[in-house]
Amino acid sequence: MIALSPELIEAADRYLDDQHEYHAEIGERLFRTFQHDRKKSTQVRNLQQIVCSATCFADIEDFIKNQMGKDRDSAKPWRNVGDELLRHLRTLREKASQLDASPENQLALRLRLARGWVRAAVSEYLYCVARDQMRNAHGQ
Amino acid sequence: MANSVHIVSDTTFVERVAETLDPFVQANGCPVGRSQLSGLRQIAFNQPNRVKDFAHHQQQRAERKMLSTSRTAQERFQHEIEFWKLIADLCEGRQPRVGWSLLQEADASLPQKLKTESTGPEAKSAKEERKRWLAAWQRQHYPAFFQRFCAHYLYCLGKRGQ
Repeated sequence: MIALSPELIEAADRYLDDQHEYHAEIGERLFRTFQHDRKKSTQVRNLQQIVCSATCFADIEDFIKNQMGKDRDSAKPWRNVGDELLRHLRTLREKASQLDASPENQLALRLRLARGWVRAAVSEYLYCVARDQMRNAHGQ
Repeated sequence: MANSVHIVSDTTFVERVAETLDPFVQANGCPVGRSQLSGLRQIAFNQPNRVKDFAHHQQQRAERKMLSTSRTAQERFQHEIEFWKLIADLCEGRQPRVGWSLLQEADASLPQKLKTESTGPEAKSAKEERKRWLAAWQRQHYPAFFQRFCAHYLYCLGKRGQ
């Protein structure tokens, strides 16, 4: 994996900061879609896992497409939220190509942006889960 | 070559798959089921040099089925035949009939020293080296391309509620 220059890292992180609110909204959307049913929340963890370990940005897009294309019940929530995620990943692709012209840097930037996005989204998702569990505990 | 595979697979392949599959699905629907697609992916991963033969075999199978079926079911098989023709074209289609294929991509990526046809006594070894290079390219790029292709096809299948 190529090492990005401090300037590129800073530019990418600044963009992630600017987008934080929207990324948190995606986390809320994931919560509304998957709730915290044990089986379904595994799906969100799987997404995070893929984003963190991917060597190609398209592996993340493929994961979402594969989940949406399954013929099981697990595909339903993905079909609700998948297009929005794919659209956002396209935006991250475009942002990476605006930040640098070299294909190697662009690949590294895409992955950095995706990891920043998923970190913010999954944090918000887990926060929603915790809030919901607390509400339920108080209600009982 | 390793990093270049990642770059091509992350850009060119993503674009080519969408450019090819979206109009195909619009015209033919999704004529191939998940199990056939899984077969295609397995072949591309394990025996990338056999993908074209596999597509040809599947095409012939669909042609035989089409002959022995009712007129109403024939249309489905016609779409399936088109699908396998598309796969063969994606592997080895040539200009001007086929705008882009993996073979064309490999040719375009050939190192300069392998591009020029030598005529002397070294011609045979140069040809061998070119063949080896293309086989290595195929082993690395076919799995990546068909991973993108199958994911996008499944996505289309899911969108159509199939």
